[in-house]
Amino acid sequence: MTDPAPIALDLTGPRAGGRGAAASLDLTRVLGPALATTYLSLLVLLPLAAVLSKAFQAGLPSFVEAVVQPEALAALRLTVISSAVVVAVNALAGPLIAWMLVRDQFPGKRVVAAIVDLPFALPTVIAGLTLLSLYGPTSPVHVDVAYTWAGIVLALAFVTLPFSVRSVQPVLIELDREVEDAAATLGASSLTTFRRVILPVMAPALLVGAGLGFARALGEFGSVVLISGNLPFKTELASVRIFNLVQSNDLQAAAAVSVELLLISLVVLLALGVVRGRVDAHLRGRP
Amino acid sequence: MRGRWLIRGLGLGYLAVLIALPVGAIFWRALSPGLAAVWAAVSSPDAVHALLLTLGTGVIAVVANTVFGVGAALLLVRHRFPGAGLLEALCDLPLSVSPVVIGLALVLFYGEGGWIGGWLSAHAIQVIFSPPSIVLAVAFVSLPYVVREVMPVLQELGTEQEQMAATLGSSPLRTFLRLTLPAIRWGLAYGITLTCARVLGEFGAVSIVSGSIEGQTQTLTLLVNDRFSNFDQPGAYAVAVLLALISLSVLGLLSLSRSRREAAVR
Amino acid sequence: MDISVRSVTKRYGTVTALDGVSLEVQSGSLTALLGPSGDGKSTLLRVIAGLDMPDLGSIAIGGNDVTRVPARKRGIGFCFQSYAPFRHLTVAENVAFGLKVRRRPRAEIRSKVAEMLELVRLTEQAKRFPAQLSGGQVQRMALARALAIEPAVLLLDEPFGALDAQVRKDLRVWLRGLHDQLHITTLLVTHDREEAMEVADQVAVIHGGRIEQVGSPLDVYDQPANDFVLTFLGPATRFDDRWIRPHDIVVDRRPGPGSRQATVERVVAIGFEVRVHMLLGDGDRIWAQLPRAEAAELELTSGGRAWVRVRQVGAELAASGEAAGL
Repeated sequence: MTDPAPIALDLTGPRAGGRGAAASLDLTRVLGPALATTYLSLLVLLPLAAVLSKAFQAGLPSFVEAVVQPEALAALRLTVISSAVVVAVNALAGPLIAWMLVRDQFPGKRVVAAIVDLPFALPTVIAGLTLLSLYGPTSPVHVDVAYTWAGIVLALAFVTLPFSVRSVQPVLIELDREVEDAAATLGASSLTTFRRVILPVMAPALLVGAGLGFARALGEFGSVVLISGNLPFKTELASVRIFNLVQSNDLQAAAAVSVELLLISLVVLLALGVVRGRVDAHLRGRP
Repeated sequence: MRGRWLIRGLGLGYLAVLIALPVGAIFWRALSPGLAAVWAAVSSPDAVHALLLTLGTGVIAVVANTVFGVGAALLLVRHRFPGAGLLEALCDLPLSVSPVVIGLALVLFYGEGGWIGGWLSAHAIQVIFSPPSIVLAVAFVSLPYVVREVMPVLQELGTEQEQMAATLGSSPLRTFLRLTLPAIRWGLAYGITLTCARVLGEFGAVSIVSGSIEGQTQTLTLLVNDRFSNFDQPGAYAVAVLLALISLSVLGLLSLSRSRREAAVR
Repeated sequence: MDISVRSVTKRYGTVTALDGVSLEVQSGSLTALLGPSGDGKSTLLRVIAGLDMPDLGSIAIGGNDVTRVPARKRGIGFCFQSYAPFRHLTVAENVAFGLKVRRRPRAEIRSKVAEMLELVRLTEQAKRFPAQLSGGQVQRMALARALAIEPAVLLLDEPFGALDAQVRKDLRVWLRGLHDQLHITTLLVTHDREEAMEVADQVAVIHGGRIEQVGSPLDVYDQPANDFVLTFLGPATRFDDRWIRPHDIVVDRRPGPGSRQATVERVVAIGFEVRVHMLLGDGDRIWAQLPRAEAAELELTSGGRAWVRVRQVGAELAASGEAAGL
């Protein structure tokens, strides 16, 4: 433990800030973490632990049974596949749109930037409604994707787009424009430049964006619940399945599926972390 | 430069089809029965109650998370203590958990038969299916934002100014209020705005914990869903547009505080 | 190959960066494009490179009109002030980039890269990354990268601008040596007149988007076309309604033919040179530049008296009003 020195102007703190004036108060150092822990426990930690506990309440066999139940498996499979597809699509669209926002000049660029941010600010159920109103049964352009997998993908793409754009944008901003010019003078076409110069530098950020988007898509509820129609085995996502289980008071099964969903998230995030580490190592020379 | 037009076409086309046109469509749909009908739909008693409930519970959650967020950020950036890594991970956790799982978690803890459910009913405190559950739900989902946004700004700020103030005799509280807080204000504003957006838009978790009881525990998002499920589409769209408008102004605030924050960091 | 720029105009919104600029760069020569910052030099270079398109006028390289040809097809080599290294590639991979893009056989790429690294003396650093090199080394790498594709012309945009003074001086000498070895037509943009004078065969002075004068370094120094070139190319002081180079002012303790009386205000020694600031009888202020030894002999002191005259009649700077090369 660090020693309780009096008002010590210690400029060699472990983090970029070091110990501030508040360090003089031992009280803060004990009270602070205690209060934070209490708040977090009551709000986040303990409730989630309750889910974990409930899932295994009736023992491991019961847990497994709830998890391999056909509808649950179908829901999980649908969720994972849909999320993966959406993340892949946005991994293409994201850099494209980011390039447009960073390098291109055209009137109304601010509006476009706002549109990209819109999914962040819009309530998910409203997002679902907007898609339903344009691409649902009452569609003015006669496109109806309600109750189909296409509708799910559409909704998930809507809510996860900002992640892939915003994660890549800072990298593009920092990438010197002259580097692209240099590639051009050396004979590279736009595509080659993108492939050999821009993409490698963007790769880590792309992976981060993909990870965030995937985690979000896995758990997404509000935007898909209306448009998907929740047909078991066809368009029922894991989050909706959990919701239905809760509504029918089968809390143990709900907890089981929840735990499985959380595990999938964890595994994917860890895997992406490893890949990102590898990519980072490959790009050693980055400043 | 033909490539440029291709990129523009693809990018703008994607954005239009995915986001811009649907949002436009809902405005058009909502306003087609006429402004009078829209006004009636958003000024009906249940709508007004939903608005007040959303705002009331939202404010409590935002304030709680702001206080927690700033405190946790200060703790994590300025001090070292065992479990700091865990604290940081826990703060990020709500981002990876599905809202419905969050709802379930709260029910399993605060609900009847839940971990402290028994204690609560023994003291005649009802949480689940009652407004307090909404506060808990929206606070849970919006927990990370203030912490995440304030931490880098604090880091950037460094402790030199605070130490300077200490040598001049300023108490820690005074230093915080007069020096630290103003310095981080745009990062904090951005975080609070994100929190508000998240709180306003929460649906899945509140769906589960509140029971969506009309006139009692129905937030604006729940009201939209309720009306839509009961085939009152115009009513649903009207409230949806109200929420969309609020979101747009939140978006404006986001832009503003982001640009101010970036300017301050430079 | 020679470069031929004819009446090129380039506008950015309401700003005219280049206004009817014409320039001929002889094949195999090293021409310096000299001018103050932001006066169109980089723009002209980028237009010649094909990174920007002119609004009016034409560019020809080796006799071929390349005005509408994109940069990657012009066969030019370009070096940026910021070096623009590919940070995720090693030094060797950077140099090999242009060849890889052209899908040259691997053996050819390897030998060419080795040759280039040898030329710029970076063979030891082949496997390192740009972030691990010094600024001067990175610019040498950038040069090797540009030369690897055997360009017809070499365009350098303030290549040494971001480097320390001493490194800059060393590198410019080295660049001239390289040029003498390879004889590639080179156009060097710089705001440093010393650099231009030391390195170039020909100097083109650009100001406000227009070429003011083109000529050999000594020509533009001794016979500037106008006041701007005159004051930009070297120090000047006003004597009797004429501009005179301070080193052409002769200072004496005794009066002589054609000399005028002046009061010494300040004597400043800067390394090798001594500057004598004086006040003439009619209120004009001038300054003279003397070698140390000479200044010592004269024993000038502040407040003392001196006699000044211009070294020879031919030293008068004639603002001929005619900027060659336009």
